[in-house]
Amino acid sequence: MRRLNRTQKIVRNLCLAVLCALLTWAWAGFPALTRGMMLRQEARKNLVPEWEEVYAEENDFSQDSVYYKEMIWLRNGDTFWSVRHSGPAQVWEVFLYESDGVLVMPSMNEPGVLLAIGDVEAASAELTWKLRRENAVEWTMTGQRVEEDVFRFPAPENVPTELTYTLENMTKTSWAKEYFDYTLRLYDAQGTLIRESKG
Amino acid sequence: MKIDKSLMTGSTGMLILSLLSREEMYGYQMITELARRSDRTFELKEGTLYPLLHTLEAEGLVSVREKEADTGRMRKYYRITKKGLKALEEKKEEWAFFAEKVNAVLCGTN
Amino acid sequence: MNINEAFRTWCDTVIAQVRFWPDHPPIRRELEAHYEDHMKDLERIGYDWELAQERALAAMGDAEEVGRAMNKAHRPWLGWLWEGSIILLVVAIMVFVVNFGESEVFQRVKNSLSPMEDPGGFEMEYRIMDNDVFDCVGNYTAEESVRWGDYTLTLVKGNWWYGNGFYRGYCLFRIEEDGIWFDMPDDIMNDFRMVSNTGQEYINGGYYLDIFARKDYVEGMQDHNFAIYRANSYKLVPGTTDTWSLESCEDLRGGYLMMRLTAHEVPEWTEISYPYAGNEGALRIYWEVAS
Repeated sequence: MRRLNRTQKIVRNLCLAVLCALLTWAWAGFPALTRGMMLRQEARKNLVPEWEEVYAEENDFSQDSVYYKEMIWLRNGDTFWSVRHSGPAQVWEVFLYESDGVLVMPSMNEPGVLLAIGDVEAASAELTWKLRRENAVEWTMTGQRVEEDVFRFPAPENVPTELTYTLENMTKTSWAKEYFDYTLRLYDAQGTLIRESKG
Repeated sequence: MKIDKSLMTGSTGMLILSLLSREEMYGYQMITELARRSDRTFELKEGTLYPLLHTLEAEGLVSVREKEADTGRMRKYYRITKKGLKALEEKKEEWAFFAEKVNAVLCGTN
Repeated sequence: MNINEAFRTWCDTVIAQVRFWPDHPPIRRELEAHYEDHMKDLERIGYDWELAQERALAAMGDAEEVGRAMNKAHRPWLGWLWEGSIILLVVAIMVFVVNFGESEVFQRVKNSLSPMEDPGGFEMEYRIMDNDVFDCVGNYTAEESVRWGDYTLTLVKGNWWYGNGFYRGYCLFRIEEDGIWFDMPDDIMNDFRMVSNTGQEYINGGYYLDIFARKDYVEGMQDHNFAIYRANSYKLVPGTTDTWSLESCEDLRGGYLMMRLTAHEVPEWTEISYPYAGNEGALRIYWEVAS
């Protein structure tokens, strides 16, 4: 090996360091480095060919022992999918759902709050829902539009204590949708019912 | 043979290397030795010695080590390296050649 | 030995010219040592302290000139870059070494170098596990496959068994993933759908689905069901005859999946599909009942 001068050694060191970094990255299975990369990887893994992001909730404090940074809802036509993660290389869960264009889901951050995500092109919305348990109470809440495609329905007040646990845990599983039955009514500016969605 | 100007201002570098070829010295010692041997002809501005020494070190012509002096301070002692010895030889040759040619011109015009 | 202000200032000026600041202290120390040496020398000859200081200082030369020459001898960018590049390299190597052993990818590369043969004998496995006498009544063996996205699912072999009043089917699939660094998530397997030629829906009893919590649950719905899981996660149950286990068979581009079906009858065919996001194609398996 011919002797290299300092500059050449520096270049050699830097190249080797970059090579090592790339190898480490590959060895670890090419973990995603950015949010965009993460979504592309998850879409590919879960057989979602195209998608658009609809809504995202950020979480600032830890719940349980797991720190959730963000819950993202995305859709591809009638298929919705959600990604709950704490960073590009830390995806906790990815779930897929079928829906008729609107997905009604519990909020990640706020127990008892439901969100209607998707084709909610309406001036106002009303959600009637009840838990799938015996003697469950039925609540009707009026929605607040938080984003173009998203309505938020506040948590009911005076919830019996035995139900708070269920409400809090609704966010934790993909089958949260199975916890409750709902009817979503969407109205236009004049108050006429334009759409009703059940689930 | 080309004369390398970048390493020494004049021939100071060669002189220093020559001093160090015989023994290990520290800065001030070099100044006094140089003055003594040249009958005070070469009286370097002392401050300029150190940039020169550091340059020689960076080029690998001399090596440095620290020894504790009797004043309690740590002194840096410089000694020549093999590479330095080689460079010294080359510079001596360069110098001899230069002198010879200068003389040839001078004598020729006489 | 005290050095006066004038010399300190002289040093400051010199050092100010040197851009590579890590070398400032050693330069200062060396210059001060030199100055002291000179001072001592002068005092030895008989100069008084003040005169000695002046003379020693004058002998040092022009501060700025010295400083500029010193700066040339202490190239900052080269020095910094050199040390930085070494640190970076060492860190990069350390990080790589730490991650080396724990790599899933490493296992898969290793496995793919000696790919798994058809893990035969899986009929025996289930016979042993069920601890009952099951009779084989039908089978299917062929390389049919379906492709979804990056995944190719191929049927390797399948059998139907009868015992205890119901039929059990077992299938072995090979799954291949184009993206060599990732596996098909288990959740996808839990989302497979299956129907038979009679339109009978088979419930996917995947890990997380609670059949009975389904909104459309009807009594007896669970009687026709199926479950799919990674073959290498299947553990051997010691039985009455010889025991064996299915080794880890995940390699670089795939692995094996086992599927178990339960039904009241052997259908003519069953079809597996994945319903989300417009994924088309299905894997249809034709069954033959032995006479």
